[in-house]
This record gives sequence, C-alpha cells and structure tokens, in this order.
Amino acid sequence: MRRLLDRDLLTALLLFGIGAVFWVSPGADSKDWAFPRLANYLLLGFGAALIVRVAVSAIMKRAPDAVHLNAEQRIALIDVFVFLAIVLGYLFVMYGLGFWLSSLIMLSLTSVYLTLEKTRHNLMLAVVVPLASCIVAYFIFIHVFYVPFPQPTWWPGLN
Amino acid sequence: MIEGLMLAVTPSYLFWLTVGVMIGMVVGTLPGLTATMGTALLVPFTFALPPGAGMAMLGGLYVCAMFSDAIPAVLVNTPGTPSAMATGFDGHPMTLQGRGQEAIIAACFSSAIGTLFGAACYLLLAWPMITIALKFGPPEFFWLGVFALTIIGSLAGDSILKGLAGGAIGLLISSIGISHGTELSRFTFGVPELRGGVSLVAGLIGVFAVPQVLFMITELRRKDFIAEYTPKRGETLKTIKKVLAHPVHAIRSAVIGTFIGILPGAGSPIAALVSYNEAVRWSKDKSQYGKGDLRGVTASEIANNAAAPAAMIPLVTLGVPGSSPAAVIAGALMLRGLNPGPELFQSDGTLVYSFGWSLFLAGIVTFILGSLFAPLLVRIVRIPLRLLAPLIMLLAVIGAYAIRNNIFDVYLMLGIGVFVFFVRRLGFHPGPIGLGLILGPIIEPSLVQAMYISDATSIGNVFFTGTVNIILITVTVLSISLVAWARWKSQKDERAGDSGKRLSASSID
Repeated sequence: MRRLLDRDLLTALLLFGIGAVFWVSPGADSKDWAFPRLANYLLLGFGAALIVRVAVSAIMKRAPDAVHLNAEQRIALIDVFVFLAIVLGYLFVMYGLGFWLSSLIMLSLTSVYLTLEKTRHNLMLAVVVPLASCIVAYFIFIHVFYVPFPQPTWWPGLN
Repeated sequence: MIEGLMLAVTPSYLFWLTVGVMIGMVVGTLPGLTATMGTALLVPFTFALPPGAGMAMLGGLYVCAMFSDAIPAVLVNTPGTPSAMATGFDGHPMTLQGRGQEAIIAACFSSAIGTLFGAACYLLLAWPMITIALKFGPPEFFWLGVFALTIIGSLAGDSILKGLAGGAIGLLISSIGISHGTELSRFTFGVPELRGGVSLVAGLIGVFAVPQVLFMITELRRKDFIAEYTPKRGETLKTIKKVLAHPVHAIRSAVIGTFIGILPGAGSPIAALVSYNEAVRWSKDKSQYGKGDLRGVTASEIANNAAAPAAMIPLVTLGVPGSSPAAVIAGALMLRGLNPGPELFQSDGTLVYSFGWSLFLAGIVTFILGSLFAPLLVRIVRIPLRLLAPLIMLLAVIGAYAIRNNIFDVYLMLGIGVFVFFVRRLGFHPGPIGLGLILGPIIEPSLVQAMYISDATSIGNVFFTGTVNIILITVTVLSISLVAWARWKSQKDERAGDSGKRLSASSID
C-alpha cells in the first residue's frame, strides 16, 4: 500500500493523465501541433522515466518515498478546503452582488474563519481590516486604474 | 547628448520623472498590474506635458515597476510582474530568515545598477548593439528559448525529472488557445473562453500567489506571521557593500540583461531568468542558491532592470520596440507625430538623448525612493497570516481579472494555483512551471515561423546553420552537460559523505 503512495509513482500517473488530456493525433498539421506534441512527448518520457525509477526501487527493495499526512497536516488541509470553498462561493456571488460587496464578504468570512483565537479584538480586526482594504482597493483600482469590475445583477444599482 | 542631459535635469523634467517613478512603485507592487498597463494608463496624461517630460514620466514608471515588482516577490513570494519571478527564488527565503529589508534594499540597489548600465548602453552603444540584435531571426529566438529552458537545472529542486516535467506542463498550458500556424483552436475542450489562451499574468499569479496563500493557511496553526522582522539601522550601507562585493557577478548580470533587452520580444523576464541561471552556473558555492543567497536577488534584479532601458534601443534605432512597455512608449511618440526610428535620431536627437538620460536618472530616483520605503514595506511580513492570506487572495483575483477584464482568467488562476499547491507535495517546484508559461509564447511562434521558412529550404538549413544558431546550440548543450555533471558530482559527494559518516560511526562503536 505504501508503495502505491510513492511520490514518484503518483507523479508518473499525474504526468500520464496530463499527457492524455493534451494528446494530439499524429495526422494533424505539423505547424499547429509540433510544439505541444513535442512538449507532450517530453512529459510522457519523464513519466516513463519515473515509472522505471519506481520499478528499480521496488526491485532493490528501497523504502518508498510515500505521501504521508499527519494529524496536524490533515487539520491544515481542512482549513485550505474551507478557504477554497469560501473563495469559490465568492466567485459565484460576484455575479449577483457585484465585485466590491462580494469581496468584502469573502475577506471578512475568510479572516473570521482563519482567526483561531476568536477574541472580541481579533474578530473586530477580521472585519475592520477587510473593510479598510476594500475601500483602499476600490479607490486605487476604480479611480486610478479604471478597472471595470463586474457589476451587481441581483440588485442593480448596488455599486 | 549634452543638450539631452541639460534638458533631463531641468526641475520640471525631474518632477515628472519622480511622479512616473512613484506610480511605477504602485504598479509593480500590485500583482497583476504590469508595466505595460501602467505606461498605457499614463499615456493620456503625457499629452499635457512637453514630449521629453512625458517620455521621462513613462520611462520612470517602466524602470521603477521593474524594481517594485520584486517587493511582493521578496515578501510574500508573489512576483508583482513576470520579470520578478527569479527574484523570489532567493528573496523570499531571505524574508523567512528575517532578512527581508536586506533583500529589498539589495533588489533596489541592483535595479539601480542595472538601469544605469542599460541606460549607459542606450546612450553610448545603441548602434553597435543593434547590429548584433538584427542577426536574431525566428530560429535564433527558438534556440534562445530552448537555452533559457536549461534554467530548469537551477530551479528543479531535489528532482531534475520533476523539474523538467514541470517545465513541460508549463509549456503545454501555454499552448492552450489559438495556434500560431493555421490559427486552429487547441485544447479548448469546447470552452470558448479558452480560445484566447491562458493569460501569462493570470497563469503566473496562479503558479506563485495562490499556492503561497494556501501554504500560509497550512502554516496558520504554527506561526502568526510570515517571518520575524526587526528594523536595523545602517542596513542600506551594509547591503550596498555586500552587492558591490561581487563586481564580476554584477557586470555579467548587467551585460546579459542589456543584451536580452535589445532583442525584440525577449524582454525582462527572460533576462532575469537567464541571468539567475548564469549566476548559479558560474558560482563556486552553488549550495545557497534558492535558500536565501543575496546573489540570486541581485542577478535577477540587475538583469531585468538593465533590460528595460535596453528595450528602448531597437525602438529609437530601428523603430521596433524591444518590449511591451516600449511598444506603448512608441505609441505615445507616434500620437505626437514623432516616428520612432533612425529618423527620430536625426530630426529630434535631443529628445532621444534626454529620454536616455531620464532613464539613467530614473535608476537613481528609484534607488532613493526604494531604500527610503524599504523599512516601511518590510512591515508587511508582520501582518498576521489570518489577515494577510485573504488580502493576497483578493489582490490575486483583482490581478488576474484586471489584465483582460475577464472573470474566466480568475477561474484559470485559481485552478492552476490549486493544482500547483497539490503537486508541490509530490516534489514539484513552481519555478519550472512558471518558466514554461513564460517561454512557451516565445518558443512556439519562433518555431512555427522557422518551420514556415524551412518550407523554402530545409529544417537543417534553418535551425542548424548560421553563427548565432551554432553558438546558441553549443551553449545549450554545454549548459545541459554542466547541469548533469554538477548533479552527478553533488550526488557522488553526498554518497561519499554518507559512507564517511557510517565509517566514523562504526569506528566510534
């Protein structure tokens, strides 16, 4: 089981997966495909080399360099997933609430979630800092750099 | 030339130059805002100024953005523009060691050295240099790109195979979109937004910024800040002495940056990466590179800043801009009825030389402002991670979106970022993936154009003849051989060290 979690083996499988996604039939026009095909052959070659390395280590009975997650790392990964879920939700509600309101909500939610010691002072900071950052960013990007950010569609006129 | 200098040092020119430098400081520091975007936004304001003052302001912005992009690269491992990618390789480890102020001052001083060298070449050597640049056609650019790929040897980390695979992944991602041959849609998987390809800036933010944010979150329960920082007095002078302690290294980086800068299309990112690679190659002690070696920061910053004034050389001599910001500056000149090229030298030589002097002075102004603000900027590392990580994510989203005003780029940025975060656990380094993203758009068009040329003759004639091609192929082969030899030697030394330890342990027993 540990050998199946070997970093080299997992990398090789990943490279084969990417190679399959970027696979091009050899009949296509060479000028359009020469470059990605070359890159893909290289990728698959590296994948094959890693498989050979895994096989040699198995034959030589060397201990595999297995991916391992301890309890602390698992908790950290949960934090990452929650953070990513909030960011994905933010990208979704951006269409409805517009860029700035949704950004403020995302910043506040993530800051509050990531505040481990939820004291009154820390929670206040987790709300005030995002608000101040959004105000500064609003003036820089709207009034100096004229970036046209997504407008609210659920309640037009909100921005 | 003297008239140009007299014009460049007038108070009004210096004032507008300083304004440009200050705007450049903001543009470079914010990931996603590039020097090109900054110069383009500033062009309308230059119409109210005399042509020379307007050019000084644009030049100041360009030069300073090439320095200030190092600030986020050093402090939060997120390059402000693609040119600062190599700066972060050693700059961020320095920050983690509590040497953030030193890294920023080194970047600032190196930027000044690079700018002064590049501007001096602009003023003195423009014509001889351009004759060499004219020898570069598509096959030469192809080989230059392939040579730049050998940098992976310096970036790969522990596994060269994974480094190379990362480079190939970057190249494949860069090939998404319309092909350079018959303009076919490639790897778009039925998604129309992918026809425009992956934006380089969004891709690089994904490769560097997002994994960094996610890494900060994983570290949240172990530490509160990125790094400890205590302001030190006299740091500027000490750092300047450290940078000047390696004169050969500085000159080599400046020459590389200037030469690559004058090649149209190559630009500052390639200059910085090639310079970093050569710094590693020629160093006697390679072990500290990637772990916080000051020379890593200076190699990258000297080269990318030398490339900025150098990119103006083909503009003023041939009318061909050497980089995207140079193209915007060319546009600003043309909108005023001034056609960049040899005619401009004859019709308005004072303007051409005053611009060169303004670039020179921009290096000095950038250094003064940068070293003044450095102790203030480094305080970012003391912002609690719980507040900093979401803020960087917001800046990453804005940066990815603002480059093309397309929300799809934000999704791509996030997808690439999550991918890189997880593959880092398998032993990949983000550097080679970013390198592939940068080099793909240079290598592929050159390859396709050279293939079109070879239709009239043969592949062998196009790719394997000509002095520049032969030199680049030889240097590439040598580079690969040296990397392979160095890796073999270090592994041999490690094995010898291990067996030595075992022997001494057994003798103690």
